[in-house]
Amino acid sequence: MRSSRACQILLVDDCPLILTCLRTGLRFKEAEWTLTFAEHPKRAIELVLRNHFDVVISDVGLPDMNGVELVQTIATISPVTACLLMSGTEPGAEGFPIDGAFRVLRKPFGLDELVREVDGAVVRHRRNVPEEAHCERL
Amino acid sequence: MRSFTRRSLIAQGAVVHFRIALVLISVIPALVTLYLAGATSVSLDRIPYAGLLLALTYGVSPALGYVILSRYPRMAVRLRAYLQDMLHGELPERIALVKSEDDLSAIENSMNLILRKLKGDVATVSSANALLQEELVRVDKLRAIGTLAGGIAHEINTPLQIIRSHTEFTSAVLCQVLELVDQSPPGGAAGPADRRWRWAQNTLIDVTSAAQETEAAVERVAGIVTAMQSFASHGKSGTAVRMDLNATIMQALTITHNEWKHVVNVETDLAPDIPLVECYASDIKQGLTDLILNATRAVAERGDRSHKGVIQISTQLTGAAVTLQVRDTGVGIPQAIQNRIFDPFFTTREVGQGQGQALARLHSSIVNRHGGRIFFDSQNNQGTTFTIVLPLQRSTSP
Ligand SMILES: Nc1ncnc2c1ncn2[C@@H]1O[C@H](COP(=O)(O)OP(=O)(O)O)[C@@H](O)[C@H]1O
Ligand SMILES: [Mg+2]
Repeated sequence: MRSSRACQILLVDDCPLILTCLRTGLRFKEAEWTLTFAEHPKRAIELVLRNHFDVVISDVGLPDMNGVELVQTIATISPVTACLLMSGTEPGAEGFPIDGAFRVLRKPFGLDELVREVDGAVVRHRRNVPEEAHCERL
Repeated sequence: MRSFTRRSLIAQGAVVHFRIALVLISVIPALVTLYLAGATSVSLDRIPYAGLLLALTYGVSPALGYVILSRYPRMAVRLRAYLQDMLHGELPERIALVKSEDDLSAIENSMNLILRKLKGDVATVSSANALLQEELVRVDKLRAIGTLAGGIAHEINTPLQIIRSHTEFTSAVLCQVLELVDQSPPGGAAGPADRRWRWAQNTLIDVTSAAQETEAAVERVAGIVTAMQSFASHGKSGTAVRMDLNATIMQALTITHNEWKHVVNVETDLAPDIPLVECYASDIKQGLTDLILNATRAVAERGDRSHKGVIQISTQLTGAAVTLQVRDTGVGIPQAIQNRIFDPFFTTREVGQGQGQALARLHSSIVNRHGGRIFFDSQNNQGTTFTIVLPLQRSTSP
């Protein structure tokens, strides 16, 4: 049963302190969310290829490939995964191509904001990607 | 340089013609003299006459030659010099060819008319050129500042994220701990245990509120950085985008806050129902900032330190346009200069204080780029209201 499973979330940011502060800050969601962390986009892709994730939240300014490219890749290799971006830069600025398919959390965001966005993304994604796809994957 | 060239040209021409004249005019009398002197049969008593003649000839003929030649060739040479100057882009004050002579003075007059007109045109073109140059430099500078600000904002936002997450976490946890402490007072009478408990409880209360204040401060910094970032992102200033005018007004107030906070209270009355406005965002952002700064200065100029002035900003949906008003309680715009404030470089500020460009720029953008209107109403020592009517859609016609 999906609803009884914890929501699998992958957080990607090249700044380890961001990952740490989110890990501590989101401790209150322990019961519902399982968090995984990656500092490099290649590591993130590896993780997505081997594990199931309900949500990926990626920073935009990353080494080797930007976050937009990363979530585009993840969306193709794992259609069941809902993707979100987070960035301290304005969408459309240099190094941040706009892709309307992905919502953007503007840093610095509040933890409650993050929770809202993740919940919303999960609901929206369930609606858009038919349940069979989820079953197939599981 | 050039006038020296012209003068030397005239001099050169005059000398050449003068020499030819000298030769011509001298040859005949010289021959006569020689004849009189008698080349074959020299008679001594004729020599004085010959001497006299020679002296006369060489004394008078140069003067004669000069008089004859002074008219035509000098004029031609001058004309040539003037034309050469003009071709080099140097326009003489006026030209002077001859003293009288009807045909020639008619030409002279016409040329002077042409000259005057040309000079006017050149002045217009070069002042427009100067304006354009300045505008280009400004745009360049803004672009550089924008890039810089965008980069700085990004750099600030990452540590801000860390601070924000940690303080949120800290204050949430502190609240829980405080609750726990509140619920478990040490039993028994007032003793050292009780004092320690009270100390812990009070300290927790202080630390919790410290964390909450930090949270609020971080949120403020975040707001300022966001406003700066969005203001700096000039986007492509050549393309129109759909912009949230009310949000832009609030951001303009945020980034100008330091300028007006001691001078005025700002009141906003922004209509919640206005749709996105299709506009050149950087023009509007800049214009809003300028209107706010002008209004602030006008209030400051009234010099009433005991009473803060007021700036009221309102938006309103008026048909297919948004009407934006910026009202101040400043000195007002004197009647005498009301028709000049939209002129480029018009300013009443001291040198170095103002460029007199803001309103000219805004006017040109609203009218020419947006097909909108801008006007004002001003009462001496009561205040000024600037009104901008901005169409929601830019008309597609040119
Ligand atoms: N709100 C206002 N109240 C009174 N005078 C104003 C106001 N706004 C503009 N002015 C007048 O218009 C002039 C031109 O304004 P502007 O184009 O912004 O250039 P600058 O502010 O550099 O002088 C100002 O010097 C000032 O005299
Ligand atoms: Mg000004």
